[in-house]
Amino acid sequence: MTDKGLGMGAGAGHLVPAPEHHLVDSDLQRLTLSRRHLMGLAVSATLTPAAAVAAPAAGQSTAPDNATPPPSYGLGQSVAAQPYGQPSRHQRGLERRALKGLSPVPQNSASFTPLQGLFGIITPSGLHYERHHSGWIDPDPRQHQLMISGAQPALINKPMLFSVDDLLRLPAVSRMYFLECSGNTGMERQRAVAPTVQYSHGLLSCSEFTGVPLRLLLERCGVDFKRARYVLAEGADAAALTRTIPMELVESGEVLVAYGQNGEHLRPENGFPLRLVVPGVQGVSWVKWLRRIEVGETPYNTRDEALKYIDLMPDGMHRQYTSLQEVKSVILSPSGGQTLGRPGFYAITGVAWSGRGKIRSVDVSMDGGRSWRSAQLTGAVLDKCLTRFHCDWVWDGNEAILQSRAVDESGHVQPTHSALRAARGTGSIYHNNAIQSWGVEQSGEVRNVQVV
Amino acid sequence: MCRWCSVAALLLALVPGVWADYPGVGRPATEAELALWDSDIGPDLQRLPAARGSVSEGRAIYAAQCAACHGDDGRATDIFYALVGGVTAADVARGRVAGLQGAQPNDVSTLMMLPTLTTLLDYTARAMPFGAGGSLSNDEVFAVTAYLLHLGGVVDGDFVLDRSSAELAQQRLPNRNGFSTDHGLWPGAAAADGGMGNGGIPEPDSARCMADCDP
Repeated sequence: MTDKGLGMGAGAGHLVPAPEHHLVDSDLQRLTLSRRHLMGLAVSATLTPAAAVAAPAAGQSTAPDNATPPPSYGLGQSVAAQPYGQPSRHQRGLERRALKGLSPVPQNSASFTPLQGLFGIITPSGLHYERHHSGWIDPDPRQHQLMISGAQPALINKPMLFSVDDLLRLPAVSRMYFLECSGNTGMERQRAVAPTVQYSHGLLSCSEFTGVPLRLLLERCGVDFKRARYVLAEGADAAALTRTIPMELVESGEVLVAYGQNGEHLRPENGFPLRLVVPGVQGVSWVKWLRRIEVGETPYNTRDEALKYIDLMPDGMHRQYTSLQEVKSVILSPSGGQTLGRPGFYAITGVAWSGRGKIRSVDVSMDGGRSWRSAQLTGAVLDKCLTRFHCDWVWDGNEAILQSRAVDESGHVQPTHSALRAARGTGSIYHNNAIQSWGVEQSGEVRNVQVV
Repeated sequence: MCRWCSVAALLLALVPGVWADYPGVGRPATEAELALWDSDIGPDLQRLPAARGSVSEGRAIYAAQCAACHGDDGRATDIFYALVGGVTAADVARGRVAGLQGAQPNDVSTLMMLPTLTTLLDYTARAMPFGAGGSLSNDEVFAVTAYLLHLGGVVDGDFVLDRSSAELAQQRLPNRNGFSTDHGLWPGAAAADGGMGNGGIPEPDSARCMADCDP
C-alpha cells in the first residue's frame, strides 16, 4: 500500500482522501500527477491518485501510526484571536475549486463544493458552489433596492420599491433547501469524466435560507394574481440574468426573497444582499443580487431560458423551461480519487435530494446495480433538502462498484445512465440525475466509472 | 368592542390577498423609477421599443463592438460562442434547424437555437458587449440584430428592423418551431391548466429493483 501516514488518512490506515481534499495549489504545483489529475479531466482514466498522495507534500504530518499525542499543558490561543473563526490549520485544502478549461472566462464560470469532505447536510457558506455569468458583485445594502413591477400597469395596483432594511423588518421564515445547478453532473452525460465527486456533483449545496415570502410582497403591491401567472426575476449583476418563475410556486409561499444563509447574511458570491430562493428548482432561477421582480401574463423567453438552460433532444427539438431538479443521490465516501487503505469496515455515506419533495428511500449497491440494500436515512428528512444516508459495508478486498439510488415521495426512482440516455439522448448538458458509480479496485483506489 | 372582531380579523388575515398591512415598509415606485428600472425587452413583439436599425448600420456596429469576441463572420473565436452558422434556407422555410438532430451543445450556434427575436434583442440590449452591458442604444441593438440575421441568411442586405418588420423577422427565424414545453420539469401549472408542461410526470419511469437486477 501507499504511505498511509499522509493527509487525512493519517494513523487510521483507512481512507486516503483525494488530493483535492488536503492539498492546496502550491502543493499541487509540485505534483505533476496531481496537477494533471486536477486540471486535465480527459486524462482521468490514466491517473493514479494514490501515487499522487504518496508523494511528499509540504506541511503534512508524518506522525507514526499508534502514536498517542501528549495532552496540552501549555496555554492555548486567546479568545477572539480569530474574530471570524476559521477551519483548523490541519484542514487546509478542503475548498471550492474551479475547473481550468471549463470556461475561458473566469467571470463566466463555476466553482465546485468539496462534497467529499462535508458531513451532514449543511454546506458551510464559504464552500457553497458558485456559478456566475458575469462575475460576482458586492452591492452596498444601503443603496440596493428591490423593485416589484408589472409587464403592464394593469397587472399590478401599486408597483413598489423595498430597501434591504424594509425587507428585514417584515416577518421572516427560515427553511433548509438544496440548491443545484442544472449543469451539475453535465460532464458525465456521455462517459465518466470527473476524477472526484467535487467535480462530478459539486454544483450542489444546501443551506438554511432566511427571508420574506415573495407572495407577501406581491400581495402588498396588489398584483392581479388571476392574470399575472408568471414572474420574472432579475439580478443586478452585468449578466442581466432573468428567469421566468411560475406564479403557482410563489403562491405556495415557498419562494423567498432571502437575505440570510446559515444564520448570517448571504455571502456576496451567493447574492448579497438579496437572492431569490426557488426550492426544488435549478440554481439559475435563484437569481442573485436580486433587484427586480416583474409579474407578467406570459413566459419571457429570456436568453437564459431560450439559448441556455435548454435541453437538446435527439430529434433536434429543444425542451424549454425545464426547471425542476429531479430525484438524485451520490455516494460521497468512498468516492472517486480516494483510496481504501485495507479491507475491512467502511461506512458508505452520501446525500440524496429531489425537487419534487422529500426523499422516501435510498438504496445502495456494491455490485454495480445487480443487487441493492436499503440505506439508513440518518438525519432530518426535509422537503427539497439534502438527506444524508448511510450503509455499512465490509470490503473484502475485491473489486466492487458502489452505487446509490434514491426514490422521492412522488415515487420517482433515480434512473440509470442507460435509461436516461434512452429517454433523452446525450445532447443536453442539463438535468443529468443518473445513478453514479464508483469503481473500487483491488488496490483500493476508487475511480469514477459508468455501468452501461 | 365586539367580541368576535379579533377572531374575524384573524380569519381575514389568513385569506390570501388580505394580509395584515405593514405601514411604512416599502414605498410606491415613481413613473420615472419604473421607466429607468424596467429595462428588459419583453416577449411581446407588439410592445417593442420604438427603435430602428438597418443591416448596413449594424455591420459597422458589429465590427466595432462584437467582432473581437465573436469573430469577423460571427462564427466564434477560440473563446466565445458562434452566433451564426449551421442554418440552411430550408431551415428558414421550415422553422426547424435540421443540423440540431444528433448535435452536441458545443456545435450549436446562437441562430441555430434562437426561437424568439425578443430573446436576442433583450439580451444584447442589457448585457452586450460583455462587460459593458447597456451601453448600446436601442437603435444600435436593432441594427446589430438586423446584421446578425443577415449574416445568418435570414434576411436580405437591405433589411431594416423596427416594430413593423419584427414580425417578419420572427417568422423567418430558422428554429422558431424547434422548442417544446411538453415535459415534466415545469413546476407550475400544466399546459392543460393554462400553464406549460405535462404537470410534472417524471421520466424515465424506472423500477426499484432490489435483487437480480439488470444494471
